[in-house]
Amino acid sequence: MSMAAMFDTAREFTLSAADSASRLVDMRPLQISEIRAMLNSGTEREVRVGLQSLFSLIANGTDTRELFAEVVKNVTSSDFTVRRMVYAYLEKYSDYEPELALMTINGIQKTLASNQSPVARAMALRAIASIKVISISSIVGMAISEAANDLSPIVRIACCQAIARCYSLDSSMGPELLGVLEGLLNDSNDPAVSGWALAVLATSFPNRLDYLHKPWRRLCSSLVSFDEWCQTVSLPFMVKYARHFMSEQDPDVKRLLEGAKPLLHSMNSAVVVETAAVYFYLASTEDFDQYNVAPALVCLKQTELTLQNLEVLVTARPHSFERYLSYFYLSPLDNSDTRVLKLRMISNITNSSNFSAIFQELQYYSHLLEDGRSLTAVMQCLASCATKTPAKVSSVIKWLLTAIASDKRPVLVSQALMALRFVLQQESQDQETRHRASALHQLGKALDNSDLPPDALATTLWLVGEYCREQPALATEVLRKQLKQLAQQPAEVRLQIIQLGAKLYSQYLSEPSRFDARVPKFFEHAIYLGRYDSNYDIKDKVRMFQVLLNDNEHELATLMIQARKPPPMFVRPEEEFKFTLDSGSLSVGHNLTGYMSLEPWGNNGDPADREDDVVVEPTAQTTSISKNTVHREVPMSKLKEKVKAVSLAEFLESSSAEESDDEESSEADDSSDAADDDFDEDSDV
Amino acid sequence: MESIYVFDQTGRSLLNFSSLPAPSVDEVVSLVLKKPTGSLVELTPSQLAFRHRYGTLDFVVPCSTLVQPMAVEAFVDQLIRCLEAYFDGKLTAQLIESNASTIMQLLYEMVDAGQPRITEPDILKGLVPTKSLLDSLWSSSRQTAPAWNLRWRRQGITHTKNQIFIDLVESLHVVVSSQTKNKRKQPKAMTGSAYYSTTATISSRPLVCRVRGQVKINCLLTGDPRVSLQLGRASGPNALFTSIAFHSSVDSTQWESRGNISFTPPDGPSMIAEYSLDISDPGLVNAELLRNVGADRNEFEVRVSTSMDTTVEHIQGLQVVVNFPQSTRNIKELRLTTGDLATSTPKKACWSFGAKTPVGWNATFRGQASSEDEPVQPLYATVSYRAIGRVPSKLAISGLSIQNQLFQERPYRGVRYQTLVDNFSIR
Repeated sequence: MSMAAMFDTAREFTLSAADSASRLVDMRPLQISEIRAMLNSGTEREVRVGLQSLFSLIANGTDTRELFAEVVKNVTSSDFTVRRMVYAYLEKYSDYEPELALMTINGIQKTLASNQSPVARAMALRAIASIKVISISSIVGMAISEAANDLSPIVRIACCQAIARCYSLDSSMGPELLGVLEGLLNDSNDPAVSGWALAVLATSFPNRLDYLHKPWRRLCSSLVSFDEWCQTVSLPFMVKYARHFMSEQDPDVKRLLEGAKPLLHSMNSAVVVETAAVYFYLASTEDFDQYNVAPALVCLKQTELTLQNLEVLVTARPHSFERYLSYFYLSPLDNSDTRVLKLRMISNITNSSNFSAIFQELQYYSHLLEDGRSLTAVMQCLASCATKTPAKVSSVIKWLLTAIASDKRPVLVSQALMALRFVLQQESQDQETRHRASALHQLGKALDNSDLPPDALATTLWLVGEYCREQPALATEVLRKQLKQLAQQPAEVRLQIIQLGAKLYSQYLSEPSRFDARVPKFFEHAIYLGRYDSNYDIKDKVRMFQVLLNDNEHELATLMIQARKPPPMFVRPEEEFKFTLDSGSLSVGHNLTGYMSLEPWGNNGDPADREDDVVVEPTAQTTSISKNTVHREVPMSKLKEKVKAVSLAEFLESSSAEESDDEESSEADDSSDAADDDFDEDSDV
Repeated sequence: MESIYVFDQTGRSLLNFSSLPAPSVDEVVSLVLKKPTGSLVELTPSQLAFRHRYGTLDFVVPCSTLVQPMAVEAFVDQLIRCLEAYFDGKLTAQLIESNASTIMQLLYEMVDAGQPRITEPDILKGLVPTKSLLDSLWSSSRQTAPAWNLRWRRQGITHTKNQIFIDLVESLHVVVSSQTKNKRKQPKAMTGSAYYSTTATISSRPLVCRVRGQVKINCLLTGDPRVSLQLGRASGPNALFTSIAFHSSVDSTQWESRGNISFTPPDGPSMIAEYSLDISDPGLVNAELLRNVGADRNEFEVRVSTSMDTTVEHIQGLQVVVNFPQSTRNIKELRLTTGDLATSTPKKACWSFGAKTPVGWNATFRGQASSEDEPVQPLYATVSYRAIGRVPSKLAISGLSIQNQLFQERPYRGVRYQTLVDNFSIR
């Protein structure tokens, strides 16, 4: 160890010792009663330390509701940090103590109205919107509509977020809130504000696509200035709008494709995947390639979620990913889930020009990997790649047979046989069956001298039986040999031996001339052995064969026994796959509550609704807002009247007296607003 | 996102941040902590939970089924990045526990009504004062709210000494398919590289040789300066990035039109760009693995060499690890020209060369390995090292200009090139 390293270790040691020492002194968690005393002490520092300790308690899950009164009385503290802790506490517990919570409104409003700092105003707005008492929703609405005109974008952004909170508290506020949100969506001073407004529209009012008509072109060109979290939420909403109102050729779709382009350079992987979804759902494959979507995706950190999304894209557009095949090569560090996902990707990208490289990779993996799940996936991948490139099938079969004959790992042998079965089954009847013939003969030989693992043996017997019509002599010989050692085999093998007998016999009944005359005898012997088997499944099967395969009518048996079995599949079943990109349903593989499928192309819109994206000189905030909200004047003024009718002081004084009234009105609100998004703009609230 | 939980490796809850009704800690422990990291778990038909493992810590985020899973994952990543930046180091259970109330406040700023809000480390540093500052007896000063014009940079930043440091850090991902000697003579049993060698085309060109680079800066500049970086190759053909990603401060239109990385940086350390590109050879260190060598074709040989380079003084922490199949019982050293060989576990031979290895140097290790009953060949070898002075892609900062400068003096500028190799394997 070098000197420097020793010093580092020594330093770490000292630091951690100092830290644990200070823990002994400082870190003893304060009791609720001690915190109460500190909050009541009146000195700023004591209050601050008390609140800090309170939040340590909340962090480990302690219920601190009993301190509600002591905490909220500090709501007007001149210390920013103290106010934040009070607000955070209020946000957590306001619905437990609604009356005490209402007492804080006056103080919060004071900060909102008079604090010089936009951050402080923004935080106060959030605090007032987070009080979960429905009777104050109109006061919140008032605060929101005022904040929408604030000169600072920080406050206007907070205003967007408050709209989402207020709407989830009281959906009857919808029309008023949408009016304010529309003004913010068209905020021409700061694109970040319209980004947040768009995000809130997408999450709180997902059906109000019509609000995008006017600002569409401007939103497309200002996407790059949005906050990354607005981008992730807004992009799918914009895709939905585009598919509903436009057609693929619409120049306004092109605007979105252009506007989203810089987002492919985002460091946020969610933004990159959502941007890729824009090109996937709105653009042709040529455009998908033109905009270089694939390289941005393959360079993302390969987490399970990213790969799940990539799989959808690679399956649909394998050519776009062909150049990036090596990004899906396995690394010794991958876990088995990642390996399976990458191998599926590889099998999708395979074509005749890259097959040799892939075959070489897969051979190496089969040698390198040791766990069963990965080996299974490698063999399945190999089989699926081989069937895509008929010219190379023979080399794959040859390699598989070598592996079956000589590999010492039972998992690999069984899986190689499954792969072989897959490959052989893919060769259709009319194609030349030369590969199959030689493969079956080699397998027959392998049966003679080796100690194949039971499941491999069962698969081999199944294969021989499946193709006994093509290779009657081989099948008969295999059956003869296997019958001799039937008693020593495990159940799955015994069953396959008896089934081989049944398959052969049913073929024999159809065309006796092509088969060995001993076949009926062998079958009879197999049935005889099976009848005394200890395994009930085997006994049942034997009884079924006996009934089906009598000499008189064997058509049914022929149908059942000789029916072609579907080959095992490697690709993911389509029902796990039909979900939209970056949806929870895609990740878990089945439909979840609230899943929204992809909007079909509708072309329901009129381009004339969309305003041109003119660069507006920044004007005074108030004028731009009022201009945009002119036609919403009715609900806005109504809101003001309502608030005026109950001034805050009156409200607080009479809040207890009016309680019963409030309950009634909130019930009325609930019932009148069953359909949350499709309310009538002019309905009375 | 309904809440955020942090657990230690025993499943004890260290932090419980929730503002909306959320599943209980016990529920989360019993359902989620068994699942692999990075996975989305279905708790109920309308509730999911995302689990991310960080060292011995577990971050669990319950969320609605309407959530975009990628966004949750990206948020957890960003949360960890912010906490690391805030506490200036890796996170530990002790750190989380003793700073729980500070982290609760950071989370209050980072999440609003279940949606991510402010996730820029610099802004968060300004918003939430550290615990020690708040606790200190002498601190009676009132905390006032900070302000910002750019969402990643506080307003009114001042530094007495203006300086900017740029780090170009590249990590290499290399896969080399090794040469196979004596192709014609195959051992009868399937041992060693038999599978591979039957069809392997002999080629020393790497199958994969990929660079992942990061442009990191540590910016200590007064005001809101505009920094412009030019990324050029010292020699050779023009760099062609497979993909490049930028910090949100970077003006990507400047990149498209002029190839400039132009930005008003966040204060302090941050990553400005991240790129990926393919190169033709690994450069500084090369290695090969020979199988089935020796008189009885049951030996193997590993060779490692460093090439001459004027920009690099020495290679740091060079190590070669030779990996063998599970069945291996014994690894024998036949010849070792230099370095220390450790074969403590029967599956691995670690061959290391101390802190510094000179350039223009080579070493050889000849050995023999066997399982219970027969000789075995190595599966693959990995090479790891660090180097300061250049990057494998030969990229360099060819220009750095600062506009909108509020200070008189020319700021100190430092550029460092660093190579980190930990994903270099020879088959």
